[in-house]
Amino acid sequence: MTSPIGVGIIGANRYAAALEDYAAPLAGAAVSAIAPSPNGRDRTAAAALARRLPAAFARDWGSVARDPALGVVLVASDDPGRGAAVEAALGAGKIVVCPAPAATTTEALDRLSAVQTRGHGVLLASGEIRHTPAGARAVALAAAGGLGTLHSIYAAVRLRVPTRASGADSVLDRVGWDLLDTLCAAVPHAPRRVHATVAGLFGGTEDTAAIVARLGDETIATIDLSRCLPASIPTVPQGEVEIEMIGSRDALRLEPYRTAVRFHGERGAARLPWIDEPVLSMLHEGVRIAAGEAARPNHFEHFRRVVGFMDAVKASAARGDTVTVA
Amino acid sequence: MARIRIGLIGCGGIARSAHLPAMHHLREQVTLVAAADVNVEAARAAAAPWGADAYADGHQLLARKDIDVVVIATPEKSHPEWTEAAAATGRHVLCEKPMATSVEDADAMIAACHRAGVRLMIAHSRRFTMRYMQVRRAVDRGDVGAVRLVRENERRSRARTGESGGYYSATHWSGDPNVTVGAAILNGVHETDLLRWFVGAEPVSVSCEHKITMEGNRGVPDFLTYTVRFANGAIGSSELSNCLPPGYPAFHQFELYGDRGALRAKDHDLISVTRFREGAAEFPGGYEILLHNLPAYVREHAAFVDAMRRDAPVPMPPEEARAALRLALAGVESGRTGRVVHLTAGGPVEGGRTQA
Repeated sequence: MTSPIGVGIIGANRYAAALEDYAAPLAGAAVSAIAPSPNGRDRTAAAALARRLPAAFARDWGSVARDPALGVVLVASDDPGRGAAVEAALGAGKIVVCPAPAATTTEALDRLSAVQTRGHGVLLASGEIRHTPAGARAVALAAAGGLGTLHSIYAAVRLRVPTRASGADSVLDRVGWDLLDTLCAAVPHAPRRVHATVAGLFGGTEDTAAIVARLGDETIATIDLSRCLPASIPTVPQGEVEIEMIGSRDALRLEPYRTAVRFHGERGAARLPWIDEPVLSMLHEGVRIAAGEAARPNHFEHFRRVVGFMDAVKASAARGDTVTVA
Repeated sequence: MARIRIGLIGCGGIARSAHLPAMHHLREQVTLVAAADVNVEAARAAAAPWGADAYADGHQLLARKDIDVVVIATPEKSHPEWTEAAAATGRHVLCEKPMATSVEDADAMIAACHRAGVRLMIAHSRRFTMRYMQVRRAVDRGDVGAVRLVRENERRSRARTGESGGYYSATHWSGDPNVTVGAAILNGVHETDLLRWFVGAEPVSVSCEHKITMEGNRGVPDFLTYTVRFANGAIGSSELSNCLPPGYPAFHQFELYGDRGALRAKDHDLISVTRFREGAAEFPGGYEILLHNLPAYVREHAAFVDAMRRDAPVPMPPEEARAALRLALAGVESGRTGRVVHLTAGGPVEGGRTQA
């Protein structure tokens, strides 16, 4: 009998919590160690999760990143310093799953790419939307030309109105990465012209972004990101996400979280167990790679395109003018 | 009370689907006495149910003495010519949108009607759609606080494969670059009008991308997406696509977010207006499909007739249509150059309330 692939977790955000529901179906793998994020702020939550799963609790994230018994490391952290954990695990040859962006600059990506090459690890980062069951099908269909020549993509994420002003929590950084990741997966062409308007309209510093981009293959993308929803509009933690892809032959409309199931129990807030299915999907992919059942992909070209797109968006917003990408 | 006597110039699709049915609905108040179209068969078909006369030349219609109002339903390039000709003969004018293809032409239309002392209203039917009347009233009441963000997406189906004659196709006038600017003003002017109307301020900049998506299109951009900044800091945006495959739900998706709440109206949800407040959601309107909305056309005609009967201003002044056209044309310029177009900042929108 083959031993299960060891899975370690660094951080205790909702991606980690999702494993409580999914630990059993994670076939061929076992969560064996949990450590807090590099900034240590989720130490209590990580320890509690370790007790519930159960798994060993490690005070030092580095020991999980380098644990030779682990084949896969899930970096489940909102800590901006999570890149250090990703880098350490990649360098130790792990299959690293990081649903949030692992790096947000070209320089940081180059460093991770070099570490991946040296350490023989694999980075599976970002892509929560495109790892939803519906998102995966939609992206695959568009990328394969299944809609005909792609004319346009409309993509929107709407979140709750912010309860506090926060300059660091720009809507671009909060949800923009995931949407650009989806776009770049569906259309493997960099933008050649970007208009971005970013403003604080609802109490946040940058709570709204209206982006129009002409991509290299002439697909036109319209992206709306906003923290605009009043409390009476029900929404999942990922916000309202809708994507339309319109091609010369077919079109599709995608609301990847609309069908998520809610359990309304007697004891407090509703639970949304299957809303985190993308994390499980990424973990499954990581486990299969670690087990030698799937090829070891290199996604850095895609990551660079996403970072380049975001750089153009931020440059356009800062200038208040169109940015033409060379 | 004597019925208002109408002469109709242009008897194509919008006349058949909107103006003639609206007149029929108001037949106790109005009557069609003459119809004109370069396709005289179309004019005859429009005139026949009314026992009206048909002409191949609108000037023959204008030469009659028994017409009070001229309804112009021709392609937009000829709107100035017919408006000025109708005004010169002392007729009030209800003209289909878009008002014209240039701001200068729009100014000439307004000036001609002003000189002649006749009323001019541009048929921006969306202002007479129940859902948007409800939205505007909610905004006016302060239900959502200050308007901060407005988004409108419009989706229309292309003609079925093998069929010809659909909008922006090679055989339709809307696909002829000598006749029209394209989607930016043909259906996009609805969006620019609604954005201004709901935001309640003038635009200061617009950035746009547009393109041709329809097979056989002869050079008229039929897709566009744009972002508008307004003088009060609000953002408006809109995306219009006319090439959806048959079966895709043709719809208008409207969202308005204020600093104290939101309003939404989405065709595909089969709910005309949903008002989200902090406490609860409310559904103040019943369902009316937006595209080809006969009640809106009827309200539009009725409001124009009512203004005439009461000797009152028309509910939507032509300056409002001019402003919507100006913004739409700025979008065209941005799409053409790939640059942000800056507009002179103005004050609040005035006189733009639809009364019904």
